[in-house]
Order: sequence, then structure tokens, then C-alpha cells
Amino acid sequence: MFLESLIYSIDNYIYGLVYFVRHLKLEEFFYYFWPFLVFDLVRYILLDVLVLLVYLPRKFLNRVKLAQARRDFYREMPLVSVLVPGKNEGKHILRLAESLQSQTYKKFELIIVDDGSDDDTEVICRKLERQKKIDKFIRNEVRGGKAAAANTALCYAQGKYIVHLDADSHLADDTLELILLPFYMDEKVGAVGGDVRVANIFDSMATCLQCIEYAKSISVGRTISSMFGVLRIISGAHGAFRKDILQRIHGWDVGPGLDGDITLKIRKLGFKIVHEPQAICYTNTPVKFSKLAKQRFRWDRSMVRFRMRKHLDILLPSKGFKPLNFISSLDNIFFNFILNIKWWVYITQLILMSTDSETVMFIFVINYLLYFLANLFEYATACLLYAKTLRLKHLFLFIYIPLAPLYTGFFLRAVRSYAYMMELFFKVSYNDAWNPWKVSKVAKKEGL
Amino acid sequence: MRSTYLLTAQENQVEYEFLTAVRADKISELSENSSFGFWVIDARSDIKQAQELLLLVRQQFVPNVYLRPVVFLISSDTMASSVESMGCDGVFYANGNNEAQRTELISKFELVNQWVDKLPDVFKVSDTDLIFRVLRLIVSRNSEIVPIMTAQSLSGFIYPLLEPIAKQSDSSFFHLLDFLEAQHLISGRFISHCYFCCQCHSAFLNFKEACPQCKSENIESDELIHHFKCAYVAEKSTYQQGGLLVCPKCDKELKHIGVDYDKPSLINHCNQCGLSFQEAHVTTECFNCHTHTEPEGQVSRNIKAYTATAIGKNAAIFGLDALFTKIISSKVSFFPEDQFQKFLDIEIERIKRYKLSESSLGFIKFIDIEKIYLQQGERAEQFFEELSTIFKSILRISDIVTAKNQSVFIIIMTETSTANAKVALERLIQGLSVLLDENLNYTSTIPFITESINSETDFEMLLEKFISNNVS
Repeated sequence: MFLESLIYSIDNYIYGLVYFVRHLKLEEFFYYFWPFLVFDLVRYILLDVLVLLVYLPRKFLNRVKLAQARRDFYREMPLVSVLVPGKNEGKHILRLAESLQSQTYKKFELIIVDDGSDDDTEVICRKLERQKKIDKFIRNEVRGGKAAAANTALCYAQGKYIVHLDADSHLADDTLELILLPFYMDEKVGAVGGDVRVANIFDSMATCLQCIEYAKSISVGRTISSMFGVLRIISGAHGAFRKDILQRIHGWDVGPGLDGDITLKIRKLGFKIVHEPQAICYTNTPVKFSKLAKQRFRWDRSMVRFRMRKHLDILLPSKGFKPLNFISSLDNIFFNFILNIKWWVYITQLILMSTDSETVMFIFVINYLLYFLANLFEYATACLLYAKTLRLKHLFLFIYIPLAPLYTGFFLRAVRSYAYMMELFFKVSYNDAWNPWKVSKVAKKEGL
Repeated sequence: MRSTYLLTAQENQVEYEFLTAVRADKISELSENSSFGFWVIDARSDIKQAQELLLLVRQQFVPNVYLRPVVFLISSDTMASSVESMGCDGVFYANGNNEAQRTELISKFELVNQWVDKLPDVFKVSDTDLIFRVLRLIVSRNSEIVPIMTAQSLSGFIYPLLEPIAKQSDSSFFHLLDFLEAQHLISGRFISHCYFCCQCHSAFLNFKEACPQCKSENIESDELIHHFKCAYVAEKSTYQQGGLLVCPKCDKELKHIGVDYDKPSLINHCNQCGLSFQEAHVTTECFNCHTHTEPEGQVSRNIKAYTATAIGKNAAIFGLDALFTKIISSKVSFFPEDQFQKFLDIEIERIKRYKLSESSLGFIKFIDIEKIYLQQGERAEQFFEELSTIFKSILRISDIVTAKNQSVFIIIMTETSTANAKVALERLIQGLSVLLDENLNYTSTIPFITESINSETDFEMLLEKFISNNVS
């Protein structure tokens, strides 16, 4: 009896929905779904099509150039310094060291900097150092923050290239080689971002959804940005740099958001920043939504602190004005900050329409369907881009795509909006325990 | 009143009428002297000679001699502190009231002397076993034997009272004390912990830091400086400009540590190979034998003060039941020596009368039994169990065995020719040798003889001959 009435209600609703769509006028369609049609469709779907139409064929055509770059690379055999700064990360270091030992390119040194850990990190790392699994371990008794730890490692790096990794990550066997090849394909390349993928995919619903998100925003999103020459960030978890450039800019500045900051500093010097989706680093992502929210709260604030404050000069006319840097920053501010405001405008519009609750519900359902299809398309594009590195578990994630609009459209946007507001009005990033208070105090005083 | 004796190296005129002079070479003559008070050794003019005379007393085998208190005759208080660590029981001031001092010392040593007097056969027994002698000396003093840290001894620590008895304080002496403790004859109280050279057991080790790469000791340290404002980190020398610290990244002067900069760590540099590192390679060099050892290769030991336990006190009076003999007799039936003698007499008579068969007498000596004690410490018991198992597997139930002391064993092998007895004993010795070689990693010679039992057999003579031919 209940089942029959439920089926009847759903049937009725679908009938109403189809009726609503069939009788929707073009101007109404635009009025109801303008955020998707104007921004998200263009920004994500059409650009994804470009990946399929331009990037993949170009990659095929560039294979001769890539082969030459590989020959040049192996002829030179440069020493690569792998820097891993971190606090209380001892438990992850063995796996990272082992993943480095199985690299196809062997001429590297692994430098670990312990940023004042209060667990057994020092004991673990000293043991690994004695076992020659770590080339150099530096223990800073006093915590100085991630930038200081990375700079400590840089101070003792001997390599021509620097690869910066997070301690809780590990690499695919050919990553070190692949992330360095772009330097040999174009001498103007100053830094290369490696692909970051989720290591703990099936730990929780949060990690599954982050895996989909990373595939869309890092694997595909950064490949597109790189293609247009406007890549604005090299992830702290996985990036390669020319050491001479890092020495020129004296390493990393105070974070949080130091990875985006250093990318902009390298861009300002006139070097190219590229993304290499085939150079894979697997990293552990937050398992709980609460932890994830904290992480994103920290990441999102840096957009305001660095793009809109510290590197605002990129947007202003000056002697060193560079159009691509301008577009890169503008793209970041527009699509993250401005369009986030659009989302609130759209919500307000729907609230104003709420007298016609049935229409609002239909709009919501259709929007959800559109974003679901967009996510499906984006994730499928990522899977195509993964090529040989595509695994069965990535395909399994397709079943979670119906939840992706909820995750990106509501959860992440809510966190982002809160982060922007708090940073704009209260500069909360200076109070973040991510940096030692003494460093934050100086950074706030100096307006960094 | 107890007698007091002045021990001298040669004939000297005695200054004190209450002292009877005894020349060093006549010391054994006092072994049967009752009512012994204490020894006096003149340490005023030649302290080294005094030490040698003390050594002579403690090296005697008769308890009535070596267990008696020894005092040094000294001239001043300053001497008192210097002789304190030499192992004497007290001092006698040359310029003090002689009678009062004598009475006081006799009274002080009365309990020690009473304990020695009560020992069974105190005048005749010859304590040749070092372990037993050490135990008796500890028990006789009825006080805690406390180690003294000293640079005069290679092992860094000495037990003054025990020093003269042990001749030298090396690692084997620590093993001896460990053994006594493991047997619950003495109990230890933790005093300190010490590392010893793995080669010569010297406590004098030079700990050195070296480059982990080239092992050079030519290394220097520099402080790392972290500038808060720009997160720049480099060595202090990078920041130094004249007398100031200036950040090379942002050109700001560093003013107050903890406010605008800090020093998170130290970095070492090798002047030989240029390596930068934090954890230096630590090595030790022995001052005595110059052996270089990694810290983990050193011998680590707890240094303890010791007191005798109730078991130890009892064992010191009535004899230390030799561990090996005790274990072996639990596996192979041992007969007391007098019973063994009776069996032998019967066997001699039987063979003499019937002249039908041949029996043999076998003698075996374990030369290194004490060495095994010292080397194996707590494991000695387990090792002796294994030795005893070999004895049991070779000897027959009809064999009659006795132990002369803890290292000489005599076996009557009835109805066995000397040739067969020799074969049996060779098998026994081969088994024992393999065990010693595999476990202690040294080849031990185990002397043995076999003799035919006949009317001519003189057990005492054979035994004496065997022991004298195989003195360890």
C-alpha cells in the first residue's frame, strides 16, 4: 500500500518535472540556470573538451620532443634533491623513502627536515639515516614552520633540481623522471607541478569525494591552466623546481599558502610554470569531513592573503607587468572569489522565488542533474588523461559521482565562503596554529 | 689479649714491644697461631712495599692468616687517606698512644677474629679456590664491600678489601662477583654504570665525534638561524656582516633572539670531506690498548656494592659446595672419598684373590673449571648441566665415581681393561672438549690417566702423582 503510494508520488513528480522542462521558455531557462550556463559550463565542460581536442593530440605529437628531452636528461644525469619538511611525520617517512628507492631515476638525495616534532619522528628518521634510506636528516629542535623547514632543507640541497614533497605522500616509480622532463623540453620552465592523487581513496566517503575532486581540479584543471600558461600553483605535496631559481628568490616565504606564493614569485621572474599529469604523487587526504573543512579553510584563506594582498601588484600596471601573470591571478580571483559571490546571489534569487516552491524544487533538481552530468564529464576526461595510470579503483568511483555536486556545490563552497570572509575581515590566517605563534606575530606585524 | 704481628720484608728492630716481628718468608709459620689479633705493616717509609706485604697476607691459603685484619703503620693523617684505598682494615698512628690504639683496634676487629676463630679447621684448611676466598673475606668483615672509583685501576673501580686477594682488578673479578651474586651468596646494590673496552676491559675510554662519511675527527659546528620575517634559514656564518647579523634574504638586521629570529639547531661540518651532518659518528678509543670501538661494541656493566647473604654466610663457614660437583653428582652417583676408598680396597682384594678379571682406575682433571665459572657467570650452571650429561652418557652404572675436589674425578671401572678404560675416557674427554670448544670457543686440555687395579695399586700415591703432574 505504502509502496504503491510512493511509486505514484514519484511518477507524479517526474511527470510534473517533464512538464516543467517542456514548457520552459529560453529566457526562463537562462534566468533559472544562468550560473551553470554562463560560468560552470564554459569554465569546466568546454575547457575539458579542449583537453580532449588539444592537449592529448599535442601530447602525441610531442612524443619525439619528449624522447629527445629524456635523452638529454639521461645524458646529463643531474643530481635531484628531494626535500621533505614536516612535523610529526615520522610514521610516513619509511614508505616515502621506499617509494623513492624504487624510482627509475636513481640519482637523487633525500633530505628530511623535522620541524620540531614532539613524537618519535627523530628516532625513526635517525634510524633511516643510518640505514642510508635517508641521505640527510636535519632535526630542528625549535619549530619554525613549514617554510623555514623547507628552507633548511634547501640550504643543504646539492642537486640541480629540487623536488618538494609532503611527508605523507609517496611516488609512482617513474615520477622523478617524468616531473623533470619538462625542464629539458623548454629551458624557460622554472617549476613543474606534479599530479597529486589520493592514496587513501576508500578510507571514507570524504576521501572518495576528494579523489574525484583531485582528478577534476588537479589532473584536469591544472593541465588546462598549464596549457594556457596560467598555472598559478604548484602543490606543496609535489613540485619540482630549478635550484638556481629557488636560491635567487631565497626559498619559500612564510605560509600558509607558501606553495602558491612561491609559484607566483617564480612567475614574476618570467619563468614558465607547467603541470605534468603523468608524474604521480599519492598523498593521504583527510578522512573526516571536519578535518577536511579545516584543511580547506586554511587553503582558501591563502587566496585572499597572497593573491589579493601580497601579490596584488601582478594585477596593477607596472614595469614588470606580464599579461599571463595578470590572467593567472585574475582567473584565480574571478573563478574562486567572484564566482563564489555569484553562488550567494543565486541562492538569494532562489529564496526570493520561494513563494513558488514547486518551481524552486524543479530548479534544484534540474541544477543537480546538470552538475551531476558536468561532474561525470569532467571525471571521465580525467580518466582519459590518466591513460596508463588509470586503475580499476578510479572507475569504481563513478558510482560516487551523484554525490559530487553536494560536495563541491555545498560543502566546499560553504567552507570557501567562510574562509574568504574571515580572512578579508579578520585576517585569521595570522592566528593559524599551522605556523608558530612567534612567526605569525612577525608576519602580521610586517603585513606579509 | 690477642697477639699482634708486625710483618716485615726483612729482619727489623721492632719499635713497639707489643708487636711480634714476623719476616715475610716465615708468614706460613703463623698459620697455626691461635689468639690472632691483627697484622701490622709499616707503611711509613715504603708504601709500595707495604702493599706487597698486604698482598702476601691475602694470598696465603690458610684462613687463619689471610682472613686476619691488617693495619698500616702510618705517621700522619694525610697518609691515612692515601692508604684507605689499598685494602687494609685500618691504620695505626706511629705517634699516637700505642696501647690505646692497640686496644681499640683489637676491640674493633674482635668480631672478625671471632668469626675466623670459629671456622672449622681454621689452621689447616687450605682455601685454594679464589671464589671461596673472596666469599670468606666478604663474610668475615660483615659489612658492605663498596667500590671506589679510581684512575689507579684499569677497570676504573676497585673493591679495596678484595683487591689484594684478587692480585689484579680486571673484568674477571667482576665476573667472579657476578657469579657469587648469581649463586645468591652475596647481594648487590647498584652504585654506578660503566662502559669498558671490549678488548682490554679498561674503563678509560675517549669518546670522540667523527664525520659519518669519512670518519675524520676534524669537524666543526655551526648554528642554524631562522629569520621569522622571511622564513630564511641558513648557518650563522651566512648572516654575519661585521659584528652584526643581517638576513641575506631580506637585508634586515637580526636583533633579538626569540623575537625576530631563533636558532633551531646545530650543524656539523667535516673539514676533511665537506659533509654537513647533525648526528656525528661516535667512536671510542681505549686509552690503554688504543682499540677503536663503536659505542654498541663496548662492554656495559653495573657497578655494585656487595653484602653477604645468609646463604653466603653459611657457605663461607661450612664450605662452598662446589657447583659443578653438586650438579654432576645429581646425574652420576658420587661416592664420598672414604667410601670410594673402601670400594677400591674391596676391588683390589677381589682381583688379587680370583685373578679372573681386570678392573681399571681412571683420573680426570678439569683444569679450567674456575675459568668457566668466571667466564660464564650465571650461565655456568646451565653449562655444567651439559657437561654432567656427557659424564652420565659415557659412564656405566657399575662405575664408581668420586670427586677429590671440584675439578678432580676418580672412577673405578670394574671389569674393564686399561685399554678399554682409556677408550671410554677418551670418548668422555672428546665429548667434553667439543662442548667447551663450541660454547667457550677455546680448546681445553683435559688430562687423564688410567691405571690397572691390582695388588700394587696405591691410590694415594697415584692421586698425588696425577695432581702434581697436572697443576693448573
